[in-house]
Parts: sequence; structure tokens; C-alpha cells
Amino acid sequence: MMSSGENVVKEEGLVVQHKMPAFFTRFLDTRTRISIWSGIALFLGICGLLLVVSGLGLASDRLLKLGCVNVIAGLGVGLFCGSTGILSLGHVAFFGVGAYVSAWFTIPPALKSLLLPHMPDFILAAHWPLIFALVPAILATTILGVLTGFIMQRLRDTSAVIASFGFLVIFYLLFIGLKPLTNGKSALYGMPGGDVTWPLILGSVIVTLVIAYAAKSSVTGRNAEAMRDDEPAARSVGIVSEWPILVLWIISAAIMGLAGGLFSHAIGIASPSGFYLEKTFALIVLIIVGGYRSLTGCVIGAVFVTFAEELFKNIEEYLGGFAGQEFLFGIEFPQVFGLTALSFSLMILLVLYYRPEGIAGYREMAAARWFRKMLGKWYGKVPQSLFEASYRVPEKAILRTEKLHKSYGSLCAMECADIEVRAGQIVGLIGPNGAGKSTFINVITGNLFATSGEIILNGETATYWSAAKLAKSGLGRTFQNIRVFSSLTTLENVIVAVNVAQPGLSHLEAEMTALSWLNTLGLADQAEVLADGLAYGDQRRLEIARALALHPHFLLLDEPAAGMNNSETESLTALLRDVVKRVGCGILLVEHDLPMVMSLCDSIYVFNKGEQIASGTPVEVRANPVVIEAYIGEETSEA
Amino acid sequence: MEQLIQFAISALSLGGTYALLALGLATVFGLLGFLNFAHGDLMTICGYSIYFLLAAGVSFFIAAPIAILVAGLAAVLMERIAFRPLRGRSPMSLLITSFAISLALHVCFQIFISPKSKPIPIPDVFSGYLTFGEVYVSKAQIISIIVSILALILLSAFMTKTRIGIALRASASDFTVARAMGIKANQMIMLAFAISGVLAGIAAVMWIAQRGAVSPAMGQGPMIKALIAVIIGGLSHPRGALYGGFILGTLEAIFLYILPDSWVLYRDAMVLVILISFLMVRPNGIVAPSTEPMR
Repeated sequence: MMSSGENVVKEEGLVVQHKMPAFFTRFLDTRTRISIWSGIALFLGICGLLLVVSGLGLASDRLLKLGCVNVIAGLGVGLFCGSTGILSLGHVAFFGVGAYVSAWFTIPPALKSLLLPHMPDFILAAHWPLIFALVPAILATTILGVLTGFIMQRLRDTSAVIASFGFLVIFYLLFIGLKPLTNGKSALYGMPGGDVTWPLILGSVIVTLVIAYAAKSSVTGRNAEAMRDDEPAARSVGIVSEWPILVLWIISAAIMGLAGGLFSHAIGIASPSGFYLEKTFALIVLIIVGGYRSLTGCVIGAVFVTFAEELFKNIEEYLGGFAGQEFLFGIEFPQVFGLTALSFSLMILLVLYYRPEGIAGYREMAAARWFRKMLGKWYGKVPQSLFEASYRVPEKAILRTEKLHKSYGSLCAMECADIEVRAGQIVGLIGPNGAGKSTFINVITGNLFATSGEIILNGETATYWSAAKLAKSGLGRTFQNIRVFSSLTTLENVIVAVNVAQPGLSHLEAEMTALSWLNTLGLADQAEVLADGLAYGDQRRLEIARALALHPHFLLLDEPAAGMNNSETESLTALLRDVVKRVGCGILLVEHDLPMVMSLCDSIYVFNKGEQIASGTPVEVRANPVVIEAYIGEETSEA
Repeated sequence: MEQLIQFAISALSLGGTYALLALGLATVFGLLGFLNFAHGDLMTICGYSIYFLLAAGVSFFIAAPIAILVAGLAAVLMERIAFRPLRGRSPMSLLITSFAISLALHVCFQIFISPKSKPIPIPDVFSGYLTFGEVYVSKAQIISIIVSILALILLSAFMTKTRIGIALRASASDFTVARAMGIKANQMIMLAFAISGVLAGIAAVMWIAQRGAVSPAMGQGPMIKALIAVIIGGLSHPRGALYGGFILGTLEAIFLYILPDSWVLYRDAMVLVILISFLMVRPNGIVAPSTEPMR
């Protein structure tokens, strides 16, 4: 079934490609194009800024190099925090590890035997150039990233922040404590600063930009963003949400290792206090001020932090000249420390009050309209491929539940649900509020565990499958309270699902398939709009498009007509009929709109108070006295 | 046996202090959904208040309660000045803000007081040992256990017996509904901060009584551990903070006894590693929320 669907896509996709003009459009999907353009623009921007600043003699060579290191570190932190939505306070730990490990290999052997006398001989003898020493540094942080990543992938929100902070503290204590490796508080010094050449620095910036943008425009990167926006929805389209977190954590750890190695050589010293709260804070300022949702923001933030830090340091030195002197009414001017930290705190507060999304906002530079206009046709656009994405559900497909039962302690939410949906059928599930419909949906989609009973999907027992596995095995769903990936575009919402169902497709093919699903649902003209900005009815249809892109055998629709007016409901009814005719899937429809259910469904199950009270064709159900009683009470009531 | 008693006492005294800190963090978390990184600085503020009060000639036993109140007041001010303008923003924004405040306060202590630690003369009641047969226990530890248990009992009585305490618990369980019932949001949030400040103050007095000094970074160490303790215990219920605090205390006491002296440097690191690894098994902490985990 799947293979035939893919063939259609590929063949027809190629036909359409002939019409496409620009080079970029021919091979690359929108996201990749945005990434490439942003990466190029950012790199050129950085180079331009470096030339201007050094040409005007505004900053020392060292400061500019440190600025580039900040850019690399900012990209590392921003890649993880932005894509996963988890604020990490622990990345400086990797930064520190990178600094120390690279220093092991570059400090001149004579000095090293004084600083680190207990090191094994081959390290003591090593006197590598920095560019080679970065390799073990990145390797070390990658390994540590894997180890810590296994914990991070399990955590969300506050727990993740605190755990990453815990890593920072642990590594800080180890930097101090493991004297044979780090020389403790006495610090490591003597790294050859001359090794930090411009080709190396700029090369590292390029490599980092490429890796970060590649990660962002990869399937995993997009999945991470989907998961960040809505985890239940991400699971419902088959994304196992731990994986993207782990992968991005490891990549960002490796980037931090690179940044750390360059940093310690640029400043010529590695001491524990350099890799603790202040540095962490500078990185937070960097991503918050710039805007951590986009890598563009991270680069802007890095430039900003570099110059702000330098400025405050100069002011501090200037003020230091007054220390101890009387300045007002006999009060002595205090010795000023930490002016940088103080101003950064203030800046964070201001940014959070007035522009919580940061300077750059949520989208990459190349996604902005002015950028598009500037590049004109070079920019490329989403191909208007209008083939019809389709697939065919095998006629034998069947979804059954047997005596499905769910109770919370002694409270029974759903009892003995026996439901059967076959391919090509539209089955309704109705009942008054509190009937157990939502419980049923949650159990059958893998969001709640059944207490007893079985779910059988195409002959396989699927009772305890995860939501992601169910989604991959042919169960697509929509949600009662809309769950779209709000900060992805409409198109990308569907691409996420396409990538799960058809992993073999290239980025461009996936994008065109998604576009065709949008076309089917009448959303094609909204493809570039952020899902957040769609109208209510459009978001509902987007959910259906996303579910269909999974190639489900069965589509579970949880009150799809809720909040729709009559004409919208009618077009939805027509659409669902059309979908069933086209792909032959079965639909399980949970709905309050009885006229819609009656007109659309082949058979109907009625729930009341957790029990299944009736089933049959619409005509039978309508005539069933038990059903009438459940909805409007007994005919004769003794008042 | 003697060792066991001594061990139990240090576990309880450490655990009590951490539990007070963790409970303060959890109280604010219950309402606003963020862990306050500046919590440790409330301890430091309390410490400096004692220092200045003692310098002004006030006796320790009057200075300590005043300083605890100052910490409560400082917490309320912190909310009023820094957190209230951000009301309604994501908890992450509040958390970052608290991180910024913590660093700013730290710098202010350094600039306006002193970067070095200041000695605080501790009254004799806290020094020395009690002997029960073979068992020596430090008085400071015993007092710290008694005080923290008293504080926990008082807090629990306040939360379950008084009208306003019940309102606070209701707000923590569902703030929206609580407000719809006519509970004033600002009042509750201020109360939560005041309680967290007072608890931090009490913890600070216990901390200082065993160490006799205050420095700008005094609150940082215990606060970091308390943060982890809250996570370990579980954020969904204040009971979690209590468990987390005592588990942390016990772990620390264990390492105090089993680690050879040369390893003491690594004690905190090892405690943290164990606690964070525990999250791998139970990412939602010991007191996990009542809803089922997602599959």
C-alpha cells in the first residue's frame, strides 16, 4: 500500500519539477533554502562587521577573536535551547571541558610537567597545534554529551533547567577538585595564543554555522521544534520525543567543546571560575537578548554580548580609578566589581519586559520578507506542484476494541467498549457529556492505559502501544482542543507527518507531498503562514491534513466540527466523505453534532455514563428507546 | 550504635535545613510555576541582617527573628519589583529573571558590603556538645533539628488550619479556579513569597549557627542543592520538597561518613550526580503528578 503511494508521489513530482525556474527551488525545500541563505548572510555579516570594526581600529584583534568564539558558543547553546525549548544552564560545563582537554595537548611539555605532573606520558609529551588539539576536545564533550543527554532527554521544563544547572555545578566542582587534570584553582596557562589564527577562527565559525543549520533543517531538527510546540501532538504523528532532544544536546555539546578550546587559547588561561555562573549568565544574556528561537538571534546576541562586555569592563576600570575617594557628602566611592553582571541583569529584565522574543524574533533572517525581496527570484519559492498526494488503505484493515475498560481506582470511566471500524467505513461515537467518549479516544490513541480489554489493529494486539507507535502503525488523530505546531508554518506542520510516514522521501519531495495534502484540504494558499495565525476552522483542517499525511488506516476525529458554523460543517462533511472515497480509510468520529453524525456515519455507537448502551445504523440508533432516554430523559416522569 | 545516632542526627539536621529551603521554593512554584534562583540570596540577606544587627549591639536572639522577618520582607519586595511586571509571561521568563536577580544581588553584596566573608559571633548555646553516655552530638545540630521541625509543624498548621493558608493551598492546586472563587491573586502571591522568605531566613539562621560567618555567596551552595532536592521530590506537591530535602540531607550525611578525607572535595559533586541520575528513573520526581505519564 505504502510503496504504491510513494511511487505516485515520485513520478508526478518529477513531472512538476520541470516547470521550476530557480536552481535552489529545484533541489531544496523551503527550510533548507532559508537555512542556507541565513547561514551565508550571517557569515558575510560577521566578516563585514569584523572588517569594519578592525578597519576603524575600534577593537583589538583578541576581542574580535573572542567575539567569534562567542558566536560559536552562542550557536551551540541556541541550537539546543531554541529547537527544544529547554533552557540549558549546563552548556558552559562542556565549554570548560573543551577548554581543558584542548589545553592538555597544546601547553609546552616543559610547562605541562609543572602544571600537570600526574598526566600520562603521552599527554605530557604532546605538543600539538591547536587545530589538532580541538579534536580530542570535541570528542570529550561529545562523549559527555551522550552521557548527560540520556538524562536530559527524559526531562522537560523546570526539571530540565535545574538538571542542566546541576551538571554545571558538578563540572565546576570537578574542575576545582580534579587537580591532576585541571590544576584546580591554580588554573592552566601557557596555551599558545598564536595558534588561534584567523583562518582557524573563521573556519570554525563556518563549520559551526553549517552544522547548526544542517541540524536545524534536518528532520530531527524540525521534529524537535514540533515537540517543543506541542508534545502530545508530536507523539500523535509518531515522533518519539526523546530522540530529538538527545541528538541536539549531543551536537550542541560538541560545538561547545570547539568553542571552549578556542576560548581558552584566545585568552591563554583556563580556570574553574571562568566556566561557572558568570559565563553561563553571559550565554543566557546572549540567547535571550538576541532571541534564541532562531540561530540568527544567537549570532546577533553574540555580537552584542561581546561588545557590551568590553564596554562595561572599560567603564569598570575607569570607575576603579575613583575607588576610595570621597564623591558625595563624605561617602566613599566603593570598589566596583561585576558591573558587567549588574548591567546584564538589568538588560535581561528589560528585554523580558519589552521584547521577550529577543532582537531577532522567532524566525531566521532569510525567512523575513525584506530578505526575500532583496534576493528576488534567486531566493526560490515553494513549487506549485499540484499532483494529488494519495495512498490506498487495504480493504481488510480493521480496528477493533474488545471489552475495553478504564477505571480510576473505584471510579469507572469506561466499561466494556466493543467497537469495530473497517476500512472505508465512517463510524460515529456519540453520547452525552461524561459518557466516556474522551476516555475512549485517549485509551485508543495511547494517551491513557486501558485497565483491561484489548485494542486490535489489523489483527495485532495494540493495547499497550505508545502513541507514537500507534501513529506509525496506521492510526491518525485530531484533538478536541486544537493542537497544531504553532510556531511552524502550515506547510511544515504537515511535513512533520510526511517524514514519519514516508521516511524515504527527499526534503523537497516531502515538502511537495505536504503541499498536496494542504491542497486537498484547501489550505494551499496558507502554506507559508505560521499555524498559530490560522483561523480556527483552518487549524481544524490542518490537523486533519497532518493526520492524513501519516497515511493512516484509521482516522480518529475528536469533535472536528466543534465551534464550526453550518456551512463549515457541511464542507467538512463533504470533505470527510471525499477522503474516505479517495483513500479508503476508516473514520472514527466523536462528535456532538448529531445531524452531522446521522448523515455521515455508516454505523453509530452510543455511550452513556461510561457504558456502551447501543450500536447500529443511524436509523436503528435513532429509534432506540435507550438512546432517546439517555439524551432527553424518560418519556414518562413522575413529578 | 553511637555512629548510627550521630549519623541520624546529622542527616536530620542537614535534611531539615534543606527541607525548609525546598519548601520555600515549592511554595512559590505552586503559584507561579517557576523555581526562584534568587532564593539563596534571601538566606544571604538574612545573614547580613544578623551581621549588622549584631554590630549595632542587638543580642543574637533578638537579631535572628528580626533578620528572618527581613528575609520575608525582601522576598515580598523581590516579587513586587521584579516578578510582578512579568506576571502572565512564561514561567521560563520568570526563572531567567530570578537568575538575573540572584546575580545582581550577589554583585551588590560584593560592592556595597564586602567580597570577603564577615564573621558572626555565635552565642554559646550553639557551640559545644551534648553527651548521652557514649554519644556526642553537637548542640547546634540538635537545635537546628528542633527549630526546623517546629517550623514545619507551624507551617503545616498554618496551611491546614487557617483560612488564608487553605486559600493558599487552593491557589497552588488551581490558581485560575481559586481566583474565580474570589481569592485575591496578588495577596496569595505575596503570601507565598513571604513564606518562602521566612523559611529561607530560618534556614539561614541554622546555617550560620553552625558556621559563624556570612559571605556574598553564602546562600548559593545550599540553594543549588535545594533546587535539585525539589526536582527529586517532585514539583507537583509540597510534600515532594519535604522528601527531597530529607533525602538530600541523608545522602550528604552518608557521604560525610563513608568518604575518606581526601575525597571531601568531591562530596557535593557525588551527591549531585546521584540525585540527577535518579531523575533518569523518575523524571517527575518521587511525588509524581496524579495524571498518567504519556506513553
